[in-house]
Amino acid sequence: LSLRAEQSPSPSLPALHDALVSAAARRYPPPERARARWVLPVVLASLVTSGAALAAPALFGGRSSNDARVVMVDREQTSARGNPRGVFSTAEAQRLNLACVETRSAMSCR
Amino acid sequence: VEERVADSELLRRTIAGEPEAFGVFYRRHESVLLVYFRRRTASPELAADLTAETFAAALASIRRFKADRGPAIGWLFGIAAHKLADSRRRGQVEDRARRKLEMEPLFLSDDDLERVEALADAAAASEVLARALAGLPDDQREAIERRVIAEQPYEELSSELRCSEAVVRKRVSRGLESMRSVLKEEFN
Repeated sequence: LSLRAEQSPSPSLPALHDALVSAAARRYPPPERARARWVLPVVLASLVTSGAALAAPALFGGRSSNDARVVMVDREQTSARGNPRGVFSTAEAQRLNLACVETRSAMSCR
Repeated sequence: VEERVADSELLRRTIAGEPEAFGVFYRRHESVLLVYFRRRTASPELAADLTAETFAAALASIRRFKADRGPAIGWLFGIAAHKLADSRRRGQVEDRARRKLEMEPLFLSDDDLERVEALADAAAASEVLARALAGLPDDQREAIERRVIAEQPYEELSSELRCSEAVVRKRVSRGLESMRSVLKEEFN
């Protein structure tokens, strides 16, 4: 009996099986979806930061709004490199492969 | 996801974003958990409810599973025992884990309930059979294991057991008759 159960892929409670698989998909999404969920708050935070950069460029080492338009992703990396929290230049972000929200950030800076 | 993958690997893959891995984990252990709960509760509905909450709790706390502390089935049964004790104390099955995972309440069809009962009956019959077989004299038990379970031909058995085919047949026949008596006694 136990051998037959192991070979059979069909659950006794199919609705529960499906509900659990759906719940697993929501709770542990694939990395790209998890990243998407994580990036949005970062984008929002970066927009705020970028706005602050426009309002007070001196805060960010006197960078111009175009230069300070970029975004950041990894706070640890940011602080480790001694950059103003949450802001990189476009070139630096590209070099560090921090890509993601450059366009949106740039739009917000302009 | 393959059925042969180890439980711990299935749980790891679930966290890594392969939800179907948890589906395999569920299918692999669903019946044993349903039987476990069915024997300890008054109805198949309760057994199904506890099974659902146990798997939901396992899914919600999957990161707490540590493969170096023992097999996943032990971890799962630890959760099951906790859920059972908790339901007895509270007088109802909690649904905290399912709510946490935003799962819809489980609605059971008559077919679902019948399958739960069939599982429990089959498990009970299987245990009685195993006991009946274990209670046979060695020669009869061996003859039945080889002929009925392993389906070896009588000719082969006769040669391996160094006796005539007629003797092997008699051992099988007597053994089955004894087992039949035990089963009648148990189920009447």
